[in-house]
Amino acid sequence: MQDKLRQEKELLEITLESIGDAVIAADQMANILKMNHIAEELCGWSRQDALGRPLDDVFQTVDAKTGQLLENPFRQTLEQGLSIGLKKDSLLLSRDGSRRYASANSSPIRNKQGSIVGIVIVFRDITRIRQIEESLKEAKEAAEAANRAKDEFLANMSHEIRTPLNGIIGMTTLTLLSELNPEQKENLSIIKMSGDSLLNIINDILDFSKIEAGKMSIEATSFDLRELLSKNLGLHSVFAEEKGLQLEYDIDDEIPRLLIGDPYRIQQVLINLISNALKFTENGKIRVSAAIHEKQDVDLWLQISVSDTGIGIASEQMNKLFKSFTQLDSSITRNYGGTGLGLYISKQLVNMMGGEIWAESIPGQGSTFNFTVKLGIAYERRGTNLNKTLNSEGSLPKTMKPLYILLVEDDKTNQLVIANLLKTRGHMVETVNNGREALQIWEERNLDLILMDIMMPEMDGLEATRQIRREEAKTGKHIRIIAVTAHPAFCDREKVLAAGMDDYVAKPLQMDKLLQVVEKTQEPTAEHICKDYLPPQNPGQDDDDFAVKLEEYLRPLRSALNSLNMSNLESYAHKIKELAYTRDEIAIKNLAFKVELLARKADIAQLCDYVQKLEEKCRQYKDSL
Amino acid sequence: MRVLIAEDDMASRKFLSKFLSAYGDCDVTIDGIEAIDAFLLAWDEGDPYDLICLDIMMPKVDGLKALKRIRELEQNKGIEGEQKAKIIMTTALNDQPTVLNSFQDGCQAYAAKPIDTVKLLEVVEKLGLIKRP
Repeated sequence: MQDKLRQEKELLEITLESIGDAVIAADQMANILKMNHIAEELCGWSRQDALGRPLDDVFQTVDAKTGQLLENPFRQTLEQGLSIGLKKDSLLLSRDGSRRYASANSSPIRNKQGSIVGIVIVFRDITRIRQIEESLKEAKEAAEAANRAKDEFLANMSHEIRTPLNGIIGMTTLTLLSELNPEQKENLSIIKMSGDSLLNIINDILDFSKIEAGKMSIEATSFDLRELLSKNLGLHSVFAEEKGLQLEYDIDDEIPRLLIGDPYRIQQVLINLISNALKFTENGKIRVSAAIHEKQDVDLWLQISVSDTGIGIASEQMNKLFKSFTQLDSSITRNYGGTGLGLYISKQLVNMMGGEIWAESIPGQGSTFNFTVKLGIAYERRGTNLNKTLNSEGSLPKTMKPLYILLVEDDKTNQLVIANLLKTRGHMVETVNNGREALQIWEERNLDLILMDIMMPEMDGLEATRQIRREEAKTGKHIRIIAVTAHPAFCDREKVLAAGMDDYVAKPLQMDKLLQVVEKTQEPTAEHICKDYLPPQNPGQDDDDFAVKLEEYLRPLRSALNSLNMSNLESYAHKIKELAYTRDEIAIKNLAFKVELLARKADIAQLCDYVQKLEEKCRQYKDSL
Repeated sequence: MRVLIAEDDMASRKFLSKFLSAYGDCDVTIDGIEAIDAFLLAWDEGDPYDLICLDIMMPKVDGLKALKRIRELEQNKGIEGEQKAKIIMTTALNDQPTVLNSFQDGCQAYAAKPIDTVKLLEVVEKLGLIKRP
């Protein structure tokens, strides 16, 4: 019996010593009864010295921040039987004065009757864990700071790239409107096109990084879907016409006139799909249709489809379509251009608008891209803002309603570009350099409109607008203020509108967009524009007779020569060349190719000669039938 | 001097043809197939090209393949020595092996993009195609 008791006691002692954590037990008066060797190490007290002493002497904690000695944390365990731990940021103070982070847990010791007869504390050194936590926290903060710096850099780059690009595109646009010889006109058109495509690439990259950073936001404003579609088709119809493609659209009559959603993002997706369709289609037509996918109370799922008769997509390529940085074939980049981000961005935008995007395609016959978006049904009225700004010759017609406009802009180049543009259009323009000067002019003159840059020295555009709106509150007047910003990555629409501005345009300014916003009060009807913009019917394509087709191409070829339209001449010569090649008519093919080459260098004298030769050769062929 | 330019990028094409038009009659093609066709057409007309500028990266048939094909065609036609067209490869690739390969395949020079007009003229002069005071 004695032996067994001794054995049990030894086992308990050994167990206590073997525990990996420090353990101290004390009696009801908080005098130490037992401690293991890890507790000795951490507290810096030997067992001989510590046993029988008050717990407060041996187990001391200080506040990590202040270094102040803390009250015995375990009183409540003894008094109320509560099990408690140490406060965060408590340091265990050892007898030699060294401090270490510790975690601890106290429990009451109860006798068989359930009354508290002592306390046991289990604790451990967590200094290393805390150090790792600290360094992780520091690393996280550093990473966040780096990320912020990157975002800021991106926003700044966006600004830095756009400002000079604005100068390039703007001045080119302006010069294109002046008297030029054909050579100069062509050179400038190329600059303009290169500038525009660079801008598109930059926009894609910025949108992409915004999406990746989770910073893309979707707005909810009311808009007219018909207006949106006809405007976008109008923008593309010139290009479609050049390629000889039909571009048509139809909208389900059931769709309400005014919807609530983000017209800018819907437009972005739409533009992307239409340009892709135009890019990959050589013959036939592109059709845009809008229909109701589903309707519940005030929510409406709209489905928009863009179908083409282009090259189509092989089924094994379908799953790559909406991924970033992928074009189905790297030669596409060389053939058709683009960043390969367009569909990825479209998919993200559509998903953010509560919809889906998908494609159906038959290689060689065409593709259909569909997307749905969730929209609200609006009931308030709003004016249309459609405006036909360019006539078919590409020159700028004078406005019927000249406005008195104040341009507030600190960059001299931009001042010149915008002011000249507006003046060419027939508006009156005053120019000032900052918000303070703007306030003065606004008080003195009876203006129709203010175009306000956001970032300016002395007083920025937001502040100037706020002051004007404060003054106006007294008189009840309201002047239209339009923000002009090179900071779309930074400057959200809400921020601009919150400052009291009515609208905004992004730099680099696109002439037609600027005029559209400036002249918003003028209201030509949507029908009028659709009719004007839709390309003429194509010649019938079903007729497969070679001779008939030749004739079809020869006529416009001749008229292109007569009107000295080199690009049409080139494109019809190319069509004849391809056609002759498929029929193995080498003589016709060579002549057509020669015409194509001559058209490219605009060698009129030789062209007259060779077009005639080509016509003769075709006539001979026809006669031989 | 008759010049043939093969280049798929419109801006580069226009730039090169406008620049070289001051020194000769320039034809422009937009891919390797057209370049080979134009090369053959010029021989058929009895007025072959003196200088051919081939872009390396082009759709359909790239510049290297066009170079090889043109040299083969010349060989088949029994064209030798000074009668052969002078060929300059143009490229935005910064890729030495590709360029060295094209020398093996029989080009005379290469011009990196963006093209340095001064250097290009020097090369054209060295090839004996133009004379400058």
